[in-house]
Amino acid sequence: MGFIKMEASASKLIVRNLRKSFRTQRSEESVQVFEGISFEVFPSEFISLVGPSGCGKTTFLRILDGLIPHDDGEILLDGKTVIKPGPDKGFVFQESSLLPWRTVLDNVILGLELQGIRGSESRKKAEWYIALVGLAGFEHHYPHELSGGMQQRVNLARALIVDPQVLLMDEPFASLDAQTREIMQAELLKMWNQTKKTVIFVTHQIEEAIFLSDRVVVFSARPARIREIVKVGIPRPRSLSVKRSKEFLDLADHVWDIIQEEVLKSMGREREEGVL
Amino acid sequence: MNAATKKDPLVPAWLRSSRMIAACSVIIGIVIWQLFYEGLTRTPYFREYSINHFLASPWQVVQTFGELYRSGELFRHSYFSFLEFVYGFSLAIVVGIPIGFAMAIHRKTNYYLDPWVSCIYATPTVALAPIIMVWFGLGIFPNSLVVFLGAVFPILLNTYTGIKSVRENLVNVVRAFGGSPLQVFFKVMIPDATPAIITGLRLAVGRAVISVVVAELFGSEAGLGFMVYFYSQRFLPGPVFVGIVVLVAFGILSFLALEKLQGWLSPWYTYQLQRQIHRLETE
Amino acid sequence: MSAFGKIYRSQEKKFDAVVSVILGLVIWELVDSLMIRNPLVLVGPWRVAEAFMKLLSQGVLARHIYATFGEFILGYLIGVAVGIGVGILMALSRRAKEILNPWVTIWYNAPIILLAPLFITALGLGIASKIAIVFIGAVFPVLFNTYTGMTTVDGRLVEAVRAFGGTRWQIFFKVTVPGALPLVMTGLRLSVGRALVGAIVSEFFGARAGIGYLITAASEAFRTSEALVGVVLLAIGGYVTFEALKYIERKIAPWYEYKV
Repeated sequence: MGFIKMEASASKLIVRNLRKSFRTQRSEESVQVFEGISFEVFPSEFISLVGPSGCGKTTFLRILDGLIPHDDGEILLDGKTVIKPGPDKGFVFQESSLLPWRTVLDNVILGLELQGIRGSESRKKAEWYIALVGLAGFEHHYPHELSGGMQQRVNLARALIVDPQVLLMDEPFASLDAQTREIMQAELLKMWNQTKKTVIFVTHQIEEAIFLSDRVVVFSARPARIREIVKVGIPRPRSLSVKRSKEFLDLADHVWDIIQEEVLKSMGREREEGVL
Repeated sequence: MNAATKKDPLVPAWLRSSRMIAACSVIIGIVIWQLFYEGLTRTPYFREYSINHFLASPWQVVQTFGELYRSGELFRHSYFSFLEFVYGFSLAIVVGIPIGFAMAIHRKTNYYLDPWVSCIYATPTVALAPIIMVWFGLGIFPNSLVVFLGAVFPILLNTYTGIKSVRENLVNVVRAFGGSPLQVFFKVMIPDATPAIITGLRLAVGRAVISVVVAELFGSEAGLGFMVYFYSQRFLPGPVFVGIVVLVAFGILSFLALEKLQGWLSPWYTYQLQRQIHRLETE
Repeated sequence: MSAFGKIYRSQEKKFDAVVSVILGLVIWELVDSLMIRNPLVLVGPWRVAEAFMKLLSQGVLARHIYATFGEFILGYLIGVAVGIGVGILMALSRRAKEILNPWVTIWYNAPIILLAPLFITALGLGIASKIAIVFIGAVFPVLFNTYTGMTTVDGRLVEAVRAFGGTRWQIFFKVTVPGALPLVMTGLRLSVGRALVGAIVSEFFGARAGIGYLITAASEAFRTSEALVGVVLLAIGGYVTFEALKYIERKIAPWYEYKV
């Protein structure tokens, strides 16, 4: 239908030396969130970001999107610097972020509407994406009539319709129950296969990250830097049963070891600071 | 809602529903009132304390209503009060919503206006009625001003709260698509704040009605408040009760009408409320 | 950052508030003395202050404040007591709720003020009629909020206590009552406004003393500055009561977060 593009082979996204700090409200001191993060993402790659809780993965993702400014360093998307959010970057939020007063169709169309594109073309496009995520027939339902998993699918359709250069997903399955989560993971891979988008996926769940990605970026505790980038060599297409293969489990152990180390480190530090 | 009541199979289900009980309660209350009054007339207290100067029976109220209606007097007063209400309330909307909005999004505006708003909100604005009469004289305009003062603050404050509590993740959605601030305003802020704003309108109705009455005390020649005062001075409680009934009916109708409006504009809101409320019935 | 800058940063809101109030008073005074020549109409803050001192020295203020305060407090406290009592009753008994609810709804939205002349005819110009009106003004917000507070307590908390074998009364005292406190406090705060309006307006209808009486009498005699003194007193009174209640609420129910 002409909505899918094949990407060239140069880097899609380059991050160089990214720094960010926050000033907390209570004290005057600033907290360094990350210092000097650099990496590269290739077109049509699926990358996951994992790390101990609170290490700043979500902040990082929002900086990539341009929602939050960064202190230092640069971000290049297709060679152009990222300054503000826009339809070239699709963002899928964690919590239910569908506009409750709009139907599924109107929610999906939102991205096009904001660019000033109207008319029957966009409606047809919306319907196509709604079908892609498996919700054909629900176009005129309201978000509160849908289950969590269905809402996230709409979320996905909404992000895809503007044909973004990169898809940024912030723990989109966190609020789903375990079973729905597994199903959504498989569905997501199916859709990714069809659209060939570059995806950067933040999650807490190591297995989810490994199952979905080509590479897994492991963050350290705060101030965060990249501990390691783990390559996931498991061939595609992957079915859910892959999660029980030895290769998969070894990778999961490896990533978990790194994270565990970081978690203990940060707990140790918090104990010193008197937080724990 | 109608929960299954376990007892009394003699009484059919529809008779036991909440609505039925409510209606019966009101009817029985009125009947008791009538009987109470009748009883009083037969006691010496009635004559001694001139009870008929300040109390009227339901039947008397109905009769008086008929008289006032037929003479056109009721309509004349009601229309007058209604105009004051509409003028004052409309002005309150036009002023209150923009200011509430400005205070919510612009920090400095909030900091500068806040002391004045808090201070005036705590004062009964009807207290200004006599002074406004001195300044502006009698008539519809000064009375509408009093109504305006009474209505504007609930509207302003609720608009402020409504805009302040717009969900940030929804704003972020539109921003993430590169939406301009204007688009954020129209596509997220207004829909999300609408229920709160309408709640403000509902609260303002009550205060506006009171303001209408108080304003008319100080020299109108017409209006329901005036009518109430006029007849109470002549010890005729009938018209007083009629006035009360009309005003109460108007207040309740406006309240319900706005509730319907809220439900129509923001159907998703009731659902959200239901999820937040956990009913606790302990019988 | 300079010392002044640091202080400004942290206390910005209060600083701006003070600046705004001072600015407002100054503008008001300027408008009064420069532009409007008619002393009957606009009255600047300076003349209000003068009137205040005059009334104070005449000993008249104390009498009015005492009268209005007395009506307000008595009517308010009785209203709160009855409101909480009936609210609890309606929360506990579904029958009671169904029977009383229509009446509560009607009277809550009614302009009770209209009953004022009747009360005055029945009970005279003295304090009794005023207390009655204040009572009616205060009782319904308290009642309604108490009822809502008790019935909208988080069901999961109730279940948790019940799972520990808690009896109905234990649930009532350990979960429902504390859980309802924030809303009860809200009801108390809403009642202040209505009670105050009740006191003032009942005085409008006929009284021998009180701030409402002061405002009316002064206005009729075209002594606007004195009338404004009355208004300012009400503003202060209302503000103080508000803050007092907020303080009490923080002490009693500190866990309740203000979302705004």
